[in-house]
Amino acid sequence: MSAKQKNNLWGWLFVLPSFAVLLVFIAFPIVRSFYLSLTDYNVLKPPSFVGFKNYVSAFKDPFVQASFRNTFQYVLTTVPIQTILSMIVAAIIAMRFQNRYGRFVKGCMFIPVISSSVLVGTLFTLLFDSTKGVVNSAISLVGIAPVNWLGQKSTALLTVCIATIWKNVGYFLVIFYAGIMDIPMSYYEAAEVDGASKLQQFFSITLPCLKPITYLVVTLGIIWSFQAFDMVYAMTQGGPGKSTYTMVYTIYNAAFREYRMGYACTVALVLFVFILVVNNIQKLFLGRE
Amino acid sequence: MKKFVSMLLVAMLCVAMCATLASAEDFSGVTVTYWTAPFGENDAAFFEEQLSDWMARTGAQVNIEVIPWDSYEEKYMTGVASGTGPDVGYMYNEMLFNYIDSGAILPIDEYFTDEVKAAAIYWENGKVLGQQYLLPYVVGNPRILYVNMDLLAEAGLDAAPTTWDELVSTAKAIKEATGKTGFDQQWGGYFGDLNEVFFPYLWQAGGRLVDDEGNLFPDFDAALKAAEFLYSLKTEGVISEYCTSRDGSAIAEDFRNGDIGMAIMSTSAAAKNTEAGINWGFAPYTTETAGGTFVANDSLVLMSSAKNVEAAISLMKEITSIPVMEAFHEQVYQMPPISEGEKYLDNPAFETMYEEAASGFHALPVVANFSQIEAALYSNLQSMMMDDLTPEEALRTTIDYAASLS
Amino acid sequence: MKDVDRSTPHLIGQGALVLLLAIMAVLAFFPFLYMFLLSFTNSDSLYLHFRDITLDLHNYRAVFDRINFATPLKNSMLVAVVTCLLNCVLCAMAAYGIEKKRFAGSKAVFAIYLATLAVPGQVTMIPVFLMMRDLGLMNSYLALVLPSCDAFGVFLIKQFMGSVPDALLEAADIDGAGEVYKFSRIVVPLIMPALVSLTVFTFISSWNNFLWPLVICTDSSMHTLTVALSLLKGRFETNYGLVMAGSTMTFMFPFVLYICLQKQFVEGIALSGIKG
Repeated sequence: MSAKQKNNLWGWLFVLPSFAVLLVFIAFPIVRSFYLSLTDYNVLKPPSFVGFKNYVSAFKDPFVQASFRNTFQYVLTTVPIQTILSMIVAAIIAMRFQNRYGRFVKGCMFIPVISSSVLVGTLFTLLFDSTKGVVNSAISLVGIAPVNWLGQKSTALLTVCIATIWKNVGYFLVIFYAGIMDIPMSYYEAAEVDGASKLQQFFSITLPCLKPITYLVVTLGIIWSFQAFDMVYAMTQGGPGKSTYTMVYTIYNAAFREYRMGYACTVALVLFVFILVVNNIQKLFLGRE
Repeated sequence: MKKFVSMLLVAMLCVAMCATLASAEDFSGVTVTYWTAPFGENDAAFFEEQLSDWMARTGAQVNIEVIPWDSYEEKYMTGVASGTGPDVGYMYNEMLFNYIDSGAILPIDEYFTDEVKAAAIYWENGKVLGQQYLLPYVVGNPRILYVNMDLLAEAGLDAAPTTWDELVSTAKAIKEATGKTGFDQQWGGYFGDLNEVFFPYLWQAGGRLVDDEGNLFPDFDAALKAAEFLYSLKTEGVISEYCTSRDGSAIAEDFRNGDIGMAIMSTSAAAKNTEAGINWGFAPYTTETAGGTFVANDSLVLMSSAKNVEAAISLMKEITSIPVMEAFHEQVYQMPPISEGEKYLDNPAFETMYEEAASGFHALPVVANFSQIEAALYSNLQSMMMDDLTPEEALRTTIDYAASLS
Repeated sequence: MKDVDRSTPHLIGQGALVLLLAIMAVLAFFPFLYMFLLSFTNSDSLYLHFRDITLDLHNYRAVFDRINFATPLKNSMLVAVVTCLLNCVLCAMAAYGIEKKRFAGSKAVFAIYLATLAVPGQVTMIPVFLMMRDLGLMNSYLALVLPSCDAFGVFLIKQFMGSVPDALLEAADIDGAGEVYKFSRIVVPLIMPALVSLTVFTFISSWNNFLWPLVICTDSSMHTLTVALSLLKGRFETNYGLVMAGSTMTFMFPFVLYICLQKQFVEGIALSGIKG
């Protein structure tokens, strides 16, 4: 066996165990999902083949339409805000507070990351309550009238977004922070000599150097946001009206509340294809390698 | 001597009886799995204690699984589908259709004698989809109109409203006199809240949910009248402008804080209302064309996967027996009796109501796709409350959606 | 960035930034404080009333009274620990194979890993459930552990693997070291920070998982902590003091783990990002 063949063999051997798990628990289930998407299946009775009926009804279903819209809105709200916010805070800590204070703030902001989404959702429902929530009490101190956060179309999805952003920022902050620390100090020193202000340094050095990390953060953000479920489940159950139905919430509802497995698999596959397409579009914009 | 003989006879009789009992009900080595819901603080411990006699008598074991309300149906669905479900289950009408339709639940008529059937007050409620599938078990807990009598008195009134007009005028009077919300509804919960916020008005308007063919809202005008009335509650400021973000817990809490004058809650909420120091009164329902409100009709069912049907039936009889039910109603969950001769242990305030208002108590139908229809209906009515749909659009959209499912 | 000027506008700017960060930290922590205080309230209230806070542990006692805490705690611990170990081993091996072996097809394999990241868990749940049923694995630890292994770990560690110098491995080759030796003695110690961060992530997701353990284990002796605690929730109303006491207790385990491993953890995540 040549060295190259040997190398290939060992490579495959190392990959094999996890690849097998992946095939069995993700790839194979997707194939089975595709089969189920062509059937009427309520789990209690054997599936019956219906062809592409589920796909036709999915495109006509008002709940699926609403959940597409909402999921897009959700992705477009959470991803930019959490990316920009975590980048700015990381830059402030890296440039001014490389000390105990900075570490403490980072530590605090990471705590939401380790809690469960369902817990965060429950807490935010209480905090954003329209009549007794802390948030409305706080904004009333500066003279803003109480907002019916989770009770109206214009703010319900936004409130779910706020909870999501709050939970994710700490994670991306840590990644951005490390990225900034990795930028060679000499770049900044040279800029300092040229008389560039801190702000100019941020835009001309930090931002371009962070491009690969921004790519990572945006990719993860998009994938996670497309899969939004726990928050909605804990906060709004899709309401009021259809204003917070997301794709995965619709899938869950169809599968577990309505006993429509075949239909749930259909919507799930459509979502999967969607995420892949969006990720490829995003690659075009942010570019990689 | 005579005494001795009679004692001997009695003793022999006893032995003989025990022997026949034992031979009729000997399930040694059988384990019956019972899935129930969390009603009290520790339901598993309660049933293990209450069923210890039965276990000793029959030699069977009981495996009690308490299923959390969060994901109750998910658990049943996956359990039954995987063959790890219960032998005896506790189910409510809304979830029954698919299980009966797929043959996962067996009819029980043949296992019950006529005397037992006659003693079971709600036996007839157990006949759904043409057969006796259910042994009614938690029947009651109607959604009634609670009134804060102190706030009512401040408004110069002394009786709970009995019609829609009175409901509105009472709510307005309370608001005027106290500045508090007169009446409130949860439009920010989930579709199960239709039992409080919509169905009662549908029935009160003389409407039905489905007809015999399964068509939604066969009496459309009545449904529309109910929806329009509810919409007017919002537009006229009778219920809170924040109703679309409030759920059942929030409404209950407000009522117990004395922040709202009237609310529809289940009778099981009464104890906590008293505990909170509220001087409450109630009306079972308001009456428009008819009277009506939701009542639970939850049952024990025999699963077709039961390993030993006789043991499962025996357990169902034991759970619904008078001593166990009295203990259940006393220690775990206050409900009216389900058998003739059982003591009334629900809140004394409701004792006469169960007879006087019974004609207005409606259980939900067992029909296909019901939870989907409920979800769509709640969502569309929420949209109506947010001025996105008119009452007519909200109902028409739901009817079209329901039609598209079948 | 060394010689910062000390002019007044700068000091004001500095003060504003200190304040801004302080607000961020408080905002991040406040909801947990709220949860903690709520777990000491005396009423059924959803909302925090300071007058209701009592300094006794009645909600915590009630949780223990209602729930047999020991078994679910043991199950959760066992499942989380085994999942972490398994995930670390499998992901580290795969990442090593892909990044350091660069075998024919490794790029395609990695692309497949990445693609599976885009699959929501709810999509595969039903088929996986059906498979577990057919294999007779309902109510088994295996069913709780196996599906938690996913591509995210491979992704995380592969990024980190770049920092392992190729020269070190080549030197080991010259010394005649075997593949297993190179992986376990050279690579694993060097990627420790990434393994720590993967451990924390895996622990958190395994610990907080609710729906999967609920449906896959019908037997209450197999319940995990999240499932057992969900019994505290009522059908119509919920005693939030009680639920928050349960939540606080559940939250404490990953929280303490995070506090203990904070330094390595942050380092691990951080390094996984920059090599991206």
